Amino acid sequence: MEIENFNFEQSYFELFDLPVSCEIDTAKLRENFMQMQRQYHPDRFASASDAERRRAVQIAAHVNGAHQTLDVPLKRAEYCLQLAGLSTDSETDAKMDPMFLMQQMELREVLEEISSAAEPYEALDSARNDIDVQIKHMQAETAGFVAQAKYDDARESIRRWQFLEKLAEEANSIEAQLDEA
Amino acid sequence: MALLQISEPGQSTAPHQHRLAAGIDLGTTNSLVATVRSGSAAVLEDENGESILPSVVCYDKHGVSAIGREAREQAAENPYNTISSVKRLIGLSAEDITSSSAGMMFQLESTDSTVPRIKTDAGPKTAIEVSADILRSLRARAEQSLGGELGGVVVTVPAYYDDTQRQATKDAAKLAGLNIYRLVNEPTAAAIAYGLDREEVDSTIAVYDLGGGTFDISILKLEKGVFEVLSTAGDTALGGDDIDQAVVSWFVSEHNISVGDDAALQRGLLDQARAAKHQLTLANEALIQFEYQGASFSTTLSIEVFDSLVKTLVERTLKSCRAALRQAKLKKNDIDNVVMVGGSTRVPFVRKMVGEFFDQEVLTDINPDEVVAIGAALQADVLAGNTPDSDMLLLDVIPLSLGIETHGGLVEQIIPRNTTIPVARAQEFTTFKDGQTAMALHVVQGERDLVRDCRSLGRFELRGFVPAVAGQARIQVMFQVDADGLLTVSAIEKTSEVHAEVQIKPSYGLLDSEIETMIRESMTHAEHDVAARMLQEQRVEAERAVEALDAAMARDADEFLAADEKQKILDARALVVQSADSNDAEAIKTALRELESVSEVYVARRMNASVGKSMTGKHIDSYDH
Repeated sequence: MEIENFNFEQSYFELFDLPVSCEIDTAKLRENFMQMQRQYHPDRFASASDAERRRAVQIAAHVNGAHQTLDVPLKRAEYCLQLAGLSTDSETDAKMDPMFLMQQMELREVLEEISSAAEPYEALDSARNDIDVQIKHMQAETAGFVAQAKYDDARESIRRWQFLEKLAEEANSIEAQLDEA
Repeated sequence: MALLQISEPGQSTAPHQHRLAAGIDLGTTNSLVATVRSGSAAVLEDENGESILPSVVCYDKHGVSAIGREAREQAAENPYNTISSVKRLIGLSAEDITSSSAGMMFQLESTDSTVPRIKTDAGPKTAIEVSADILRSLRARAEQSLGGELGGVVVTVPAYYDDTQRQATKDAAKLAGLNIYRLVNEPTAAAIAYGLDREEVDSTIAVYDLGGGTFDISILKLEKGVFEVLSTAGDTALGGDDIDQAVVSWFVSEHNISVGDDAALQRGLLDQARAAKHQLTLANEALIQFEYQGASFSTTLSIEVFDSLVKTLVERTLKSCRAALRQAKLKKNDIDNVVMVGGSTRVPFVRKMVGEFFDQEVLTDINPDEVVAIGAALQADVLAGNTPDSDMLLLDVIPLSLGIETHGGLVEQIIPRNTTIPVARAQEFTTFKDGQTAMALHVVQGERDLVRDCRSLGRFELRGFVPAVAGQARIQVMFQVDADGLLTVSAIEKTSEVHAEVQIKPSYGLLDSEIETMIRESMTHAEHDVAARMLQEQRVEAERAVEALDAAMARDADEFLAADEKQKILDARALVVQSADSNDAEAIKTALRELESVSEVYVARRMNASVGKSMTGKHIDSYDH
C-alpha cells in the first residue's frame, strides 16, 4: 500500500490531476476522486494495523475535503484565489457597487414575500431562476479574471457571488419551511 | 479470553486467509445475523430454524434467563424484567427516557453515570449491556453455524444515529466480544443487498426504512460499485411500535379502559395490536379480543380505521423524505428506485403511500426483515478481505452537523450534515488570558442555532499549552470524523508545535473506564459461573466422602485401624470438612485427595476383610449341597 508516501502538501488540483482553473472537467474530478477513494478509503484497511487505519482515515478525509472544495464552483474559485495568495473572507469590508446592492435588496424582498404569495412554489422557482442566472454570470466573470490572473477583479466578483449564494441558501430554507408547513 | 485477542485487530491473522465475517442487524424489535457462504449472503438460523431473534432479553437474579422469542413470550408475566425495544434507549439520558413513550416500559435506577440503568432482578442494566446480551446470542449463533471464531462483523445502525448512539452501539459490540469492522447505516446496507444485482447500472436510490422503532430515509447514488450516500434524514423515535401504540390507544378509547401504569395490561394490549396489524397485511379486518378485570372486550378493527391510524405516521415520514430530497438537491422524479426496508413496510398502506409519493412501484422483493442483515454480511465479507476483486465501496455521510458552543450559547458549525466521511476540519482558536494553558470546547450535534436545542456530545478539555500573552497562542483544533461517523478531537499549538492533551467528558455515554469495568465484570462473570459450578461439585464430593467414611468408621474403625492411623484419617477428614466450608474448590480437591491417600490402608483392609467375610460367611457345607 502506498499510504506512507501520500503527499498532503500538493494542491487539490494536483491531487486530482487537473489544471488550476475555475472551470474544470467535473467528470474527470469525479472519476479521479472515486479512484482515490477506492485506494485510500479506511474500509480498504479494515484488517490492517491500527497505525495504517489511522493513516487511511487521514488520507481519505483529506481527499474528501479536497473533492468538496473543487466540486463546488464557489469554493473552487475561492481556492484558486487562495492559491494565488489572496484571501476571500467575506468579512473583509468591501466597496460594493450601489447598483449591485440595489439588486440584492430587491431579490431579498422577493424572497420575503414568497411565503405569502398565492402560488408560493412558483414564486420560489422564479426567484431561484433569477438568482441562478446571476450566479452563472458571476461564475463566468470570475473564471475569466482568474484565467487572466486578474485576481483583484476576481475577488470582487467572488464577493458578489458569495452574496448571491447566501440568497440561494435562503431560498432553500424557504422551501424547507414551505415543505414543513 | 477471546475478548482480549479480538480487541487487537489486524495483528492476529495473516493476509489473504479467509476470515469468518458476519453482518448483524441489531434492530429495535428484531435482530438478525447473516453471512456470505460460497458467494451468496443468507441469514443464519438458530437450532429451531428461526432467523429472527426478537430483541428481547429477560433477566432473573442469575443474569439472562431468556432471550428472543422465549423472552418475549414471558414478557406479559414478568414485564419489568423483560427488556424489549432497548434500542430506543441507546444514547438517551434518563430524562429523555422518562419523557418518551417508551418510558413507561422501563423502571430506571438513579445513578451518577450519564447512562441510565434499567432495574432488573439481575441488577441495574444499561441499554448498552442489554444490547450486548443480544449481540452475544447472535455471535454464538454465527460461531456455531460457521464453526469458528468471527474475525469481524459489520453492525448496522439507523442512518440518523448521532455520535453518542453510534458510540454506544460500538461499546455494546465490544462488550459482546465482537471486532467491529464497521458500523454501516441500515439503508446503505439495504441498498447493497439490492444493488449488487444491478451492478452495471448507475442509479439513484431512495431507501425507505420503517422499522420497529426508527425511521430513516436515505438517498444514495450507485455508480460502478460505489455507493455514495447523498443525504439522509429520519426520526429515531418513530416506527412500527407507534402503529401498535396507535391501535392500543384506539382500542382503549373505544372501550373506555384505563391502562394507567399497568405494565402487564399494556403489554397484553400491545400483543393484540401487533397481531391485528399482522392480520391486516392480508385481511380487511381483524378481531381484537381482550380479557381485563373479568370482563372481555372485543372489537373489529377495519382496514379503513387501521389505514387512517397508519396515515398520520406515514405523513410524518414523508416530511423526512422531502427533507432528504432537498438536501440531495434532487426532485422526486430523479429517484430511479425506492427500496422498502423494515417489517413495518409490510403494511400495505405504507407501501401505497410511499409509492404514490415517489410516483413509482416500490421494491419489496427482498424480505424487508432480512435485507439489512444481508447487506451488512456482504459488506463484512468485503471488509474481511474475502473478495479481493470487489469494487464495492461505501461513501457515507455524517447525518447531523457537528458544531461547537460559542458565546451566548450559540452553535458554530464545524462540519455540516451530509458531508462525505471520513472528514477532517481544522479550526483555529486563541487564548484570551495571559498565561492561559488550557481551554474547553463543548461539541454539539444537530441543526439548530442554540446549543440547548442540539445534542451535547461532550466537553473536550485541551491542556498543556505553553503559557503566552493573550491572543498570541494559535491553537489549531482538528475535528476528525471516521468512516463509522465517530468524532475524535486533537489539538496543536501552532507556534510551539506542542500537542495539547485532550480529555473528553461525554455528555451521555459510557466513559472508557465504565466500559472496561463492564468488560471485566462480564468476563469474571463467565469465569465466576465456571468456578461456582466447580465449587459446588467439589462440595458435593466432599460431603459424600465424609458421609461414607463416617458410616464405615462407626462400624469397624477400631477393628482395622491402629490409634495413630485412625487419628491421621480423622485429621484429614477435619481438613475436608473445613475446606468444604470455604469457597476454594481447589482446597477441597486437595483435602479430598489427602483423605483418600490416608484412608487407603483402611479401605484396603476393609475390602480384604469383606472378601474374607463373604467367603467365611458361607460355610463349606453350603457349597457341598
